[in-house]
Amino acid sequence: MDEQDFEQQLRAALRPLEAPKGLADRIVAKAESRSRRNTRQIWVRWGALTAMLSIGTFGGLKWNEKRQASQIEARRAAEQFSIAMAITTRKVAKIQQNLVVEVPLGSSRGGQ
Amino acid sequence: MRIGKQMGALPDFRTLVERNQSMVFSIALRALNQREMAEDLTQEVFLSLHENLASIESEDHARNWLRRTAANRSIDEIRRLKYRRGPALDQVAEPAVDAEESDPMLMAQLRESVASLPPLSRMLTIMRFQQELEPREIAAQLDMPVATVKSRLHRTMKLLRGKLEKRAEVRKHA
Repeated sequence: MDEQDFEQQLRAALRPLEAPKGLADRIVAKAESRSRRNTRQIWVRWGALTAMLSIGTFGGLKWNEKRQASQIEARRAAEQFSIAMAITTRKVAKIQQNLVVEVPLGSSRGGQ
Repeated sequence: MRIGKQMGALPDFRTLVERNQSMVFSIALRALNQREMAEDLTQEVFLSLHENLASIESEDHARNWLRRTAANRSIDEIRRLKYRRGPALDQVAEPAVDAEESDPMLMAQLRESVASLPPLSRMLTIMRFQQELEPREIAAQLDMPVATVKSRLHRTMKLLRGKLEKRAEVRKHA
């Protein structure tokens, strides 16, 4: 068998074959079913993403609201504290003034 | 189901499958030497095409893409299964063997010899003698240098002829 003859025999042995009957239908059906599944998965993913974003936004707003409320509370407490301190300072100053009036400076040397 | 970038240049997916299923199936069958596995691989190749349709520009492009993917996946599958020798040839049901084959025994021996080749050599033989591709086309399909394709094909032909002659000798003495 010469080289050309051998190659011809090899071609005949490896010749293309017809695909099994119904293979194209099975492939197309599978591709369509995968497509549908992918579309469903995309919708599920979008749904999950939307839900997560909603929860995140709602949570963020709530957190911000709470933070602002506690800031207002803290500011009020600080104001009250500073008012209380101002009152106390005034009172202490008045008491001090009274003490100075009641005990004149020269009285401590009076007994000598 | 219309597909691709250039809608007019591409037939729909079903037509692509119908026109190319035999090519993909034949590559897989001769490479794996098992009908069921070849059918599974054919399905996977087409499903992969379906997922990548956006990047396919024409029918020729699709055909080349299918051929390349079928070849590469077949090589991977052979390697994965460590198929040095295919299963018995009686598992490979071939339609109209008697009508088309002048020497069924020689054909069976040749197929068995091809099935015993290493994965890449097997695929090069299929590409050259089943798909009728020139070495430069095979090189482009399998991302290999042309010189490597030529030298490997040459070695493979020598090996196959050697195997066939050895078998003929054994038969003569039996």
